[in-house]
Amino acid sequence: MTEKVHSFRGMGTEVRLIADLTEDPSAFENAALRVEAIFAREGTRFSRFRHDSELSAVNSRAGSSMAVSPVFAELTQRALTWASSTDGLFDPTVLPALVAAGYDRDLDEVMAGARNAQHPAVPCGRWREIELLGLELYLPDGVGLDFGGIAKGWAVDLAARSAIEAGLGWALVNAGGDIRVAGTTREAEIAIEDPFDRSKELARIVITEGAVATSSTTRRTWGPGLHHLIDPRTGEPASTGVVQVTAWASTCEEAEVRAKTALMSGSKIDRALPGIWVGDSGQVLVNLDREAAA
Amino acid sequence: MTEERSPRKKRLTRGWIRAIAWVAGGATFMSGVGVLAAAPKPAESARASAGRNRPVLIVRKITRRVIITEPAAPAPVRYVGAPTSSGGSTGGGGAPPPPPTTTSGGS
Repeated sequence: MTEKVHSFRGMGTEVRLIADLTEDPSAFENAALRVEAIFAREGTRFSRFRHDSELSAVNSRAGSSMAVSPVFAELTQRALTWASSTDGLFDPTVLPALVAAGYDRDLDEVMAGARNAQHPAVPCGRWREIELLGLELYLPDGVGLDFGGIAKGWAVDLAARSAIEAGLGWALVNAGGDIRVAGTTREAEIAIEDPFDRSKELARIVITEGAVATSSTTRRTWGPGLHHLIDPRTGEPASTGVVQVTAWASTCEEAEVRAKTALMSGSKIDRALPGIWVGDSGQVLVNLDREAAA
Repeated sequence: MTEERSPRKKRLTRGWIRAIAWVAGGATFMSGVGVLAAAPKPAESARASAGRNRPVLIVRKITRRVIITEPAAPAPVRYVGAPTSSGGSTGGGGAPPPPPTTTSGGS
């Protein structure tokens, strides 16, 4: 072991702060406290499974305007911008469709079978009807927000920056596969899991800066064809011929969006996007070139 | 005048009638079973008989085909490949690969 590691549960997944073994113990301890506090705070704010979260309060007042916190407004604005730039392939309003597909409570409970019956697919794309003016948010009736992966990616970015501010020279934060490195340039070797056999590695990459995120239809599943990645075009769990995408970008938030939308793109693979695609037949496409021709 | 009366026919008791009815019913039922038993059966394939006592395994064959597009300019990400050696492998595969810094497996 050549690194210091601090692990804990946050935002519904395992979070790891990794730093060099040579780092000052008090700086590492300070960084660990800061990172853990960020995930506790943002997990509480953006959890749809907590009745006391700001997200639950906002969703319960759909159909009216309400005042939200600056952080909530910031992430809402970011989500709407991603939705617009991906032409709706990233959609922060898939929550009703996700609930209709059966993901209506904490995943552990869903997988244990404690969920309501499935309902017909719910149309998505209502992010266009959301209005945000400063801290005043209007959510149309029947619309539910779920920031999903980008809230986690955004928290990872925040945590990695905070770890450096705490005195670490280099830090890596990994929240359930959403990874961000920060600080001095140093190589970090990332193993990408095989979507067909989680005990195996599909590939390894080395990153020196930025972030990596992986989206997979074989994770967070609760039945055949039932998983957490809703295709906004159908309102159903995505079935596009691509089962996993690993993407990298300068921030974890962007890598999350890239991975998710690439998976939704399916057979129309965006070869201009650096990443690793795994098709349902086992084909693996590794694109290391941002400028690769389509 | 003495009348000679013909001897009365002996009537079967209820018990006898019941017993005969049971025997007749049972024979009718068994004749159906016999017909089914005597009917020709389809020939059993060798594979079916051999696999009768084995658990059924559905193996999805994944054929790995890896296509790699190399970067035209220096990139912040380098592809290392898929580790081929495992701890239990034989044939001089060498030591298992060093552990990665961390893992990304999808969310």
